[in-house]
Amino acid sequence: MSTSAPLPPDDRDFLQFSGAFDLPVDPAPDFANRLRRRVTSTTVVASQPAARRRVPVSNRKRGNLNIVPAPHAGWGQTAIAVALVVILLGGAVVWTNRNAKDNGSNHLGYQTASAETRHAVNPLATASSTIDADNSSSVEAHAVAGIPPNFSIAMINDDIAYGQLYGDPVSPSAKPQAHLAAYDLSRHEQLWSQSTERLFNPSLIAGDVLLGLIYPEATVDGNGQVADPASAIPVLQARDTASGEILWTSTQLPFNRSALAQHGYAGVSDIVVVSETLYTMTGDGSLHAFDLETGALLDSTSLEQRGTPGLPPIVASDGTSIFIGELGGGVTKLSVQDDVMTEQSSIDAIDESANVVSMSVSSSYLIVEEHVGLSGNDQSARLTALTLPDFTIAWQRDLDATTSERWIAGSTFAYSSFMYDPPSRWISWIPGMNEGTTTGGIGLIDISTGDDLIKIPANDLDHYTPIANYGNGVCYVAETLQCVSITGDQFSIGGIDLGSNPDEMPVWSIQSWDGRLLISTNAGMFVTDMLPS
Amino acid sequence: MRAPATVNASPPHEDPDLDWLDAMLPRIYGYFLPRVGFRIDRAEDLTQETFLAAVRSGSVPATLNDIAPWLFTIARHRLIDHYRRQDRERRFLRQREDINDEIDQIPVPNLDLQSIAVREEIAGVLDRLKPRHRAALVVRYLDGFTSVETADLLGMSVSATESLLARARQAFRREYHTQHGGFS
Repeated sequence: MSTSAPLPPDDRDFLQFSGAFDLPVDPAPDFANRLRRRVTSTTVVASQPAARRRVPVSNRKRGNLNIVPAPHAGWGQTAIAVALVVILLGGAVVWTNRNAKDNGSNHLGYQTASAETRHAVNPLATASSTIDADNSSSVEAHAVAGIPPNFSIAMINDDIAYGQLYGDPVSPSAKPQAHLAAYDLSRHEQLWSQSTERLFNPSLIAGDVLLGLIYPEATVDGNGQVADPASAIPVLQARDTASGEILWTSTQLPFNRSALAQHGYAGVSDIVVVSETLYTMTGDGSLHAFDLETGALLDSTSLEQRGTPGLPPIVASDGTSIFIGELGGGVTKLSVQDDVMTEQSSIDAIDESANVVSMSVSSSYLIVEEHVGLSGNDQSARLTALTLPDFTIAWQRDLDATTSERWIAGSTFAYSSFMYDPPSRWISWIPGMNEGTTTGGIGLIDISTGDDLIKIPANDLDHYTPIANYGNGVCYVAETLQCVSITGDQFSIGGIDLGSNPDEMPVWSIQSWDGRLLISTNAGMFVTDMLPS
Repeated sequence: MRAPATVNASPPHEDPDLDWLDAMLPRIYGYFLPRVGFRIDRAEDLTQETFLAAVRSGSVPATLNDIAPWLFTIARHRLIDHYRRQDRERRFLRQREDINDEIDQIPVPNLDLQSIAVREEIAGVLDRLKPRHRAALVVRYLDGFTSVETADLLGMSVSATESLLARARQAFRREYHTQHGGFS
């Protein structure tokens, strides 16, 4: 292949690289052998007559249905693949029910489901439809914290910075602003759409107020990327959830400019609301308080340096206190009462080298997840439950190093685990090791004790897999969209064919709202309805 | 962990149904390895993803001549997806770039790309770039696609791709000078 287009002056220098990096290289023999085994087992499944047919989601008919034996690789001696076809409301869906029954031998040490079960869970219970979101592949459903359980409006913003590499055909110069839109998911209708500043980042819905961060001074290059990260000073903005209209825009967060210049970016934590006051932390270790009604800056306090300079700590709240999970280890509780903030206690959950990577709050527990040794060889991870409001450790458990090592080494940002059915259970996502002996899965943990309840085999999970929970289970995207239905200690897994090869239609994210699932793909946004079991 | 820069033939096997795999494995693995900074774990992951995606498609071409371009297409998409994921993760963690107009003007000399050491140097520099810059340079120059084809593969407009390539070349020069003090 060669170019016939006019070459920029410096283009020719680089053409010498063509073909110089395509030499065959032998992989390690053990890897080659593992791959052969996996390919062989996969080939057996793929060549079966019932192997899945791909049907466009918008054009499904009953006649297109197929029973799909789910591929299985490893997981001890687990595995019974059962196929289930669900046809509802005229929508035809490929749905695999993969009940797993474990005889007690497994690699992750989980308790197993006590019996096979089958749930009539169909994530596409009603005919699915695509949301017309400017027909742009850059549109993503963003996770918005604090959405009430019955909130049926999805906030979707169109992010130029993502769009470039993700296929937005519209040049930034012709589309200088991003958009934020709200959709009624029950009717699949757009309620409103508003222009936003570039990089509007919806963060929290508090009552009827949508809070987000904007970066009005950010200099953006021709590719829509922030050209100078130091210019991306965050500003809070509140919008009316009913109309999208701006309610107020704050002054710039009083970010320490010298720290910003040193670290090159303005890290801002999640936003929490306590007693009509909004709190957020910046990467210079400052805690800022804003009036929720007016956006006025009430106070800005420099706390003791917490964690990695430049990176904001993890912040959560139970409505009366603020919890600060530090990137240098430990969790601090700040009690807020009568506009007076008191640092009550601090717990170092692992050691000083730990990084708090996630915190979730229920009425009874604060669940803290920490990683140690992000860039070194001595990697481990720990889950800690702190009782509320007394803030004492209820239990701690180390996560399986043989599975956690991989995702710690690969990415801290993509890891996902969250409260499920709060406050009783916790879902932990365990990416596969691709070793042929240990596969990925979803673990369900009893929050009151820290004990494992079940292990759900979910092959093809890796540390990049988009994952989201919904009212009755959890969905993730591997080769296809998979949803796990959980009832008590029983579960079933179903696959959904979105109608296209993942190579052709990658799924960028999935989010759940009000029992519905939003699936962002490069072919548009899908919204699905869920049926209870 | 970095891979030793060994180049060799395919390993032996006993299953004739896997002839195509054994023939293609070193080529696909060798494709990924320099494009992920000679990191064995990443190259293995991507190689495995490629072959599994291939067999799951249920339509492996009959001849090796047809298999090779088909498999490389899958591999290339996997690689671009890999860069995209990295790009997301780094989105807000980018460091300020030092601007050095002098370095931007220095052409890349003819390099001895038969040398393993030079290829490792280039791969190491690529690995230090932003994923979007790396993606553009890999597709355009290492894979040898035209700007129009590169734009199509990256899902961007041609003008945006040209702009991205220009910035990626600048970034490459700066990073090379940072690491090696100039072109050898």
